[in-house]
Amino acid sequence: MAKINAAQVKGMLISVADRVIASKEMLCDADRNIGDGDHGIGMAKGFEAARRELMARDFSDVYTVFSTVGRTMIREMGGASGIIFGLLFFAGAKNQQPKGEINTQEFAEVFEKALNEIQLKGQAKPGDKTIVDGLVPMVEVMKSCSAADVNFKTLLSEAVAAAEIGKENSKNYVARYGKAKTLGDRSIGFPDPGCVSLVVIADTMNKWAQENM
Amino acid sequence: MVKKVINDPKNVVQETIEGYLLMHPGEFHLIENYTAIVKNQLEPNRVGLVFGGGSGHEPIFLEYIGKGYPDAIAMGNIFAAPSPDIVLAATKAADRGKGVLYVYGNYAGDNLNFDMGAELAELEGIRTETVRVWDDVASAPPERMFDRRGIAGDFFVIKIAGAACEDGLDLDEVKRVTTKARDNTRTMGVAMSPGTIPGENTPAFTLPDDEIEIGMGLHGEPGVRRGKMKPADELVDEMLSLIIADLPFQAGDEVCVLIDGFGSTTRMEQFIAMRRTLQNLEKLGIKVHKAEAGNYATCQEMAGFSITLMKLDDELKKYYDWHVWSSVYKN
Repeated sequence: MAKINAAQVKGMLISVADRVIASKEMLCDADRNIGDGDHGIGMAKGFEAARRELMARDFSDVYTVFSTVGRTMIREMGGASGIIFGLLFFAGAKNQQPKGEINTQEFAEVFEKALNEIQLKGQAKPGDKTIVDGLVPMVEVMKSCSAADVNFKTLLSEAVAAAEIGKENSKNYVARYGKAKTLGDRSIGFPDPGCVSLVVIADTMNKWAQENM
Repeated sequence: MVKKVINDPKNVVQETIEGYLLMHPGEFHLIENYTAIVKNQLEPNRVGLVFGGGSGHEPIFLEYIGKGYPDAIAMGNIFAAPSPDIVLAATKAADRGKGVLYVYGNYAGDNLNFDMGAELAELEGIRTETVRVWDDVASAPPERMFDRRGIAGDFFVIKIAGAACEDGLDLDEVKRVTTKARDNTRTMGVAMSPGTIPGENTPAFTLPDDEIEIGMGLHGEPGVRRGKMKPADELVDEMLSLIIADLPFQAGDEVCVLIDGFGSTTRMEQFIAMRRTLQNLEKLGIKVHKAEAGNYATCQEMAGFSITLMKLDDELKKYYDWHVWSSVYKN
């Protein structure tokens, strides 16, 4: 099975941080359509702090790279997105035996556990117009890709395509969660801002893999 | 760019807190490394009271601290709930071994972050309880009360909670009284123009020049109806009828009344809304114990106001009249 090591995950997540920070205004705009317009501010703040933590040292354990990013975002961001995007990186990495490298199956499991924890804590279901709508198809395809023993380039290009479909589908849903929920039918036509961020994250992980793996 | 009295937008929360603390030397201090403040003097053997939420709504949450008011305030970024670490820092600072009550508005972000803060506090051996404020009648029907937002009703609920803590009640009792205050509080707002996050170029929402939204939330969340601007009396009539029907409030009830301005609604307008509100309550046979008007929960330069009623019983009345001091309310 293809493997990715701690230094590579660090490089990948630093490029994610750079891209999210650069996408701040786009993410605020996405949130302004159906929320309060601050999503990009929180995401940029969280990834700026996570980037500092990543740059500050070398990592020998892949899971510590993920958990450092997630825990820093939980601590620095606040808001619903602080917990949800923090858990995206933290939930699947906490309490894991340290590993210098992980295979595609273990990589997919990080995001599968994140999905489970996000649903448990947030109580959002598929179709509620949340990150769950992008994460469910993304995790699904990551699991099937790792079962088919593909490399990381294929796994991540499939993952971003699935997240993108989830994001597009979220346009059709009536928001049932967060500040957008009172919009009712008025939320139809706009993608969930959390899904928009998820696609930015997945797309950057994929681009990094295509160029560096 | 909206003109605002700020420096670097990144520093607005920190600088807001610093300014407030410099105004009140010797009374409150910053919990180091966190956007949280705590009273310098904490009476021993009392339940700790932590209140908090996103920044940008001042005076709520920052100024709701003092005698008979919360012990510590956990502040998040603009319009974003405080992180679990900030909540934990405020919890540890407020705890005197009797446990800590969290009071905050019912939003997904606040719920997630305070719940995780409570988990972290439990690991440190601090018992916490929570009362989420959900007074906004416009945000969900009564059968989904737990989906309602917390808005200006915080003003009443936190006042009751603070007085109950100072009276020396234990954590379960403070929670009971605070829950009762929450369950007897109803608010309805109307928005006329949006506020803007400091440093952003675009308002948080848009409303055509001649339109208003009845029931709009403090972050521009949609309410019950969008329509043309109307005279104050007609607005008050519509808003009050929705509030009255919801609890319902009945002839013979005794209430406290709050007219809250959202930021740029003038005191003149607040009094005009108050006039009609009190006239209508008298017609309905509802007795007013106390009435307050002011900017108590805002959203930057948002224009609009809300009406809040809290139905009193003897216990709530006793705690409402408690001798308190904060920079938002003195009694």
